[in-house]
Amino acid sequence: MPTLRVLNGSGDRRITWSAADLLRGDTEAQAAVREAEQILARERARGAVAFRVTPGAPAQRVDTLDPLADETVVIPPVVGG
Amino acid sequence: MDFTAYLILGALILAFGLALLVDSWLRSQKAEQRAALLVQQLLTPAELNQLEACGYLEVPSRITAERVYRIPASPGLVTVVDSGSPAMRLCLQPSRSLPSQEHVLLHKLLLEGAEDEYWQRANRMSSGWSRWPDATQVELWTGPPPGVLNRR
Repeated sequence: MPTLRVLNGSGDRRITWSAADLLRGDTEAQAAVREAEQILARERARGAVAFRVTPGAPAQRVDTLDPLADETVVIPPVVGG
Repeated sequence: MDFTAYLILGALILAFGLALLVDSWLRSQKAEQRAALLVQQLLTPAELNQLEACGYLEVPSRITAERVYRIPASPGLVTVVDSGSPAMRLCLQPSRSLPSQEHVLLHKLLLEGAEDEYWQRANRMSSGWSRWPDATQVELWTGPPPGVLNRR
């Protein structure tokens, strides 16, 4: 089930929707995707970076949300320590 | 106000402070639990085994042959290992607070998906000195240990 996760101090914030429902044109799934896209755009504007994650494969940096991808993880901006 | 009123006021302030502390502790515990769950979901069984058994997760470089990055299980420096030997350490931190277990995910995702950017942002440190030597290192002091200024 496609999920957008934003890592934060409380663990993570997540939004999930059904890919099958989205393909069927379900309005609830479409609304969830729109919300996820808005969150991703807002986080990226703050310097966050998003990755498409598939277990067992290297993470892939993404700039936009693929609503059919299983896991998209947003990490906060980083600084040299 | 008499002494009893001050006592009650003090007890209320103390109780409020304690409640805040307990609430903060509970929140951080909950965050760590969520983070542990997320780590289990996003890492493979082999990666989880390595993290537990070795205390670090190795991520192969995608741009440099025979290079791996060792990400410590708890927040700390990432060790660059070239052809099996520690070459340097990299220091990179999230600008916002994260549960300690999510630091592994942060480093892994960045190193796999944005390795160039990782190098641009991280501070580099020599691997020649370590405050806490690992099992493959031996500490050898040729002079008085730190803190000893003189001997009788």
